Amino acid sequence: MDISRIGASPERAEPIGVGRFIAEARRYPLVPLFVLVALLIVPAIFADLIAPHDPYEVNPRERLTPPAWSGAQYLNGVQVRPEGSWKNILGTDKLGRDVLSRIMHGARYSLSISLLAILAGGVVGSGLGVLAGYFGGLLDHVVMRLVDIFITIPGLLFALVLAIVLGPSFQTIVLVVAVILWPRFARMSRAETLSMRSRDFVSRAKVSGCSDTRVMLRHIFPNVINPLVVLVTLEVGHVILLEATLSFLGAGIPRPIPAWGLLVSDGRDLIVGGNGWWVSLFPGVAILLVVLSMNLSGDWLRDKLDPKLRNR
Amino acid sequence: MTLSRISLPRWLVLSVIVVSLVALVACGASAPEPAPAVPAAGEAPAAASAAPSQPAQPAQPAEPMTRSEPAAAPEPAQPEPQATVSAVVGQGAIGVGAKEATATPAPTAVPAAVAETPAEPAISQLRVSRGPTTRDLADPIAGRGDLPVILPMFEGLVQFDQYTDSVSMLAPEWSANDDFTVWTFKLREGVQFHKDWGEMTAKDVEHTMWQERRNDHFDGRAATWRDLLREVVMPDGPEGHVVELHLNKPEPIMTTYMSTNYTTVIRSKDHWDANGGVMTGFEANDAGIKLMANDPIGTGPYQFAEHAEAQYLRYEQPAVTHWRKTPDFPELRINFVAEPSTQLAQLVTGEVHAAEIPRDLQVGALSRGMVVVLGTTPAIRLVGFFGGNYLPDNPNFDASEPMTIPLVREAMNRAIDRQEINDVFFNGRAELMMQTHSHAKFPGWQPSWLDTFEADYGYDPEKAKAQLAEAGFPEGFEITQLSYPRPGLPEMLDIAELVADYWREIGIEVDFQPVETAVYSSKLRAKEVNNTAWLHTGSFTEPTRAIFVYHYSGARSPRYESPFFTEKYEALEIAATTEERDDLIREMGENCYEVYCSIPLHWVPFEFMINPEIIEEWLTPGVFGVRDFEYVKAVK
Repeated sequence: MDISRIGASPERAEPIGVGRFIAEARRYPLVPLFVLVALLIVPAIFADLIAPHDPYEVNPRERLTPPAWSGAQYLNGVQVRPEGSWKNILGTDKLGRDVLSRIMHGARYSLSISLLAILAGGVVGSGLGVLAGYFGGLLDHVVMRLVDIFITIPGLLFALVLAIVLGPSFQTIVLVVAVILWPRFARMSRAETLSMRSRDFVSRAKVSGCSDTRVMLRHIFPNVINPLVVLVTLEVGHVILLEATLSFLGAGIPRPIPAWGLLVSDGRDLIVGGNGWWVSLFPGVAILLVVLSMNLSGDWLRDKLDPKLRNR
Repeated sequence: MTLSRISLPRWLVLSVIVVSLVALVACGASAPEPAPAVPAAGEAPAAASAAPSQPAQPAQPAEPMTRSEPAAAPEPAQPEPQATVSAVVGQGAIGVGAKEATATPAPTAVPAAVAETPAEPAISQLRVSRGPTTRDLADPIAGRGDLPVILPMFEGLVQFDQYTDSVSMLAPEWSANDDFTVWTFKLREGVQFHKDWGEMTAKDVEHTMWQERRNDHFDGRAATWRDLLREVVMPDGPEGHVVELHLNKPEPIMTTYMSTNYTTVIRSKDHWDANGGVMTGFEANDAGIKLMANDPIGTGPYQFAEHAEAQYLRYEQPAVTHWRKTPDFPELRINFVAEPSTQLAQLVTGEVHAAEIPRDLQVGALSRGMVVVLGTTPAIRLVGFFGGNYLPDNPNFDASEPMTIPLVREAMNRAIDRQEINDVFFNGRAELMMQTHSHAKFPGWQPSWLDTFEADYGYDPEKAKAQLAEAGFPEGFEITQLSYPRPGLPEMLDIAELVADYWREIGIEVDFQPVETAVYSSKLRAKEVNNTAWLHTGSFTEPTRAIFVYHYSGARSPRYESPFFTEKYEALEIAATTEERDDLIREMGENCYEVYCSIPLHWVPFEFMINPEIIEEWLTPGVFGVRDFEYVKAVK
């Protein structure tokens, strides 16, 4: 008899709607992974090859061409919007640049900013966290108070101030996001280290003459890394959103680089005006799908890596 | 097959399809509607060809230096309504099915001396939505940028009419001595300040000239006044109706400086004195500063009622019948709304009756019955500048920089397709600019520019590349291009980005940097704009001021300086005849034209949208934005 079935109601109702979708997605993580690959990773790596147009090529006379399937729009017999064209499947922006190509190239910036910022924040945060957890004492106090201070600062506001002071650029965004992220890695790695350092295998390592560095690198860090990996996957979505938000607010990636947030910002007025809804909508959908997929993948990964959740 | 058995990938596909369908329906992907003629993308929604891009017309005769108001003044001349929609305004109201409404520039119009009978509007409060003001201040020291929110409350001795001609306002007559160092203004009698602060007399003009020189005045013109104005004399005493302005140097365009367009508007001295306002030198005390900010008193058709910081200004009719114009709407409220889409929402939902809607959003309002209004003048001067062109003895000047070389500047001008900019962004309604500070309407115009412009500045990227090579930059060079928002031209960023692309096409590597206006201003003042180009907008005003601001080395932040401009502008300042001034301005214009001192682009009419169910007609020059509220005709 399957012990896991004891106490479970055989007539338990299946979740429906969004809940079911999420449950299914957790059970089959390949779908969000596929979305990630299709919308983020492949375009980011192969944008130069697969994008139909140069994302920077302006064509003013074809500005605000709607998506391919859209018809022309008329107002009292006067055309106010041209017919869509398969030349620009997702339409063009205010300068006639191809929206699809810009989304594809924008994925490159979103992905590279995410990876670099998480790498920087993760290395610094995890390192400090392990050190603080392992040595304790004054170092632990100093690091944790720093973490407390950074966590209490409103992230977006802090990012805005830093971005404005340093000037909008790719490097600035990476730095800003890394500064925001490191406390989360520090806190998690410290907590895991604390639970590890009193374990028998750590004591035995010390007794056998291992240095502190060796103990941390060979015995503690490998046991801390699982939750950190989960955190990384969850933070990718967060970083993409943060980058998009900063770019939307004009403090992120500078024009004319096709960062996703900037693409959404470029067309936000046109949504209400009704004459260019596609300029913002498609980059927005790309952000939504990628962040959602990344979060679902992170959840799945957490379940798989956590022994307590692995068989649920 | 039940829904629960659908496998996950199908779920995903279904979800995406549903989301896409909802988005399509919500966003209105419309079915094609047959049309008799299908213009190309980028053409105007309606009546776009009303004013094709064309050069300005030849100059008109110069203004006389002495003038007086006729005994019985007519109403301001207005164009004959020709549009099929109910609103006809400015150069043309463009609405659904509207025809071109051509405005014939009227002869210099003078406001009526006799008050009109108050109208009966459908609503009592006219509500207008516009972008935030620069200073968020009801005090005239806010400066020209905030003129539209100052003008409902205040009047000047002289005003610019709908076509920016100087006409009388509070001064029916004026005259100057032979060398333009003494200007005498006769004041209109019986004009009352709001809220029972008495009749406007000579002492109020003198008080105003002190206010104009306040240290906390936001316009650089306060310094100009300090240099220029020596004394205000009141021959008939403080309660009289004559003032003489004695100047330190000749100033033939004094009526321009004394006009409403320069915010030289008359304030009440009694109101200032009674409420503790004190001037120590040019320093106003706190009581005076607060008084003018919280309870400004003028003689305008509306009086101040309420100011909600960064939200709105509310005005109401004064208790006494106004001497010049009783507005159709007893109340006026100007909302400050940064987001154009919010302004659009306010307009179509009836929350406001007029709003500054960018051209790209106008279709959304047109389809809901709103109407586009064009100003009566090409109100916005769209121009570009080449940084680093300081005087040669300036330590920041570097002659090796590409943009200090005229041939490079010519190439960068030739790289720009002005017609494309006009067609794409302005629906062909803008006028081609021949040269930064000149327009056919103003002194110093050179008619030959009309014939030579295409040959000298016309779009020719191949020739531009060749010129760069000839100048020693066959591989191009790197520059920084700054871009910052400008009121009245929401397309500024896109146009600047397009210009950057034109330059990239001829091999110039452009580092495009959108910045806040304050960042640009501080760089400009510090002369740290080497190897930097940028687009800018100014207003449609007499060229002397533009020459001073853009080219005179003694100004706070000139864009292109040269010993030639310094010499000629200083000669202009003391020129004693209209002809001499005209020649000097023309000489400077020709020099600017020949050395490609700037990037002349377009004179752009100001556009805004109104609700034709509330507003029948709105005639305004549109300089500095939505204004002239007292002349708005209500639908009755």
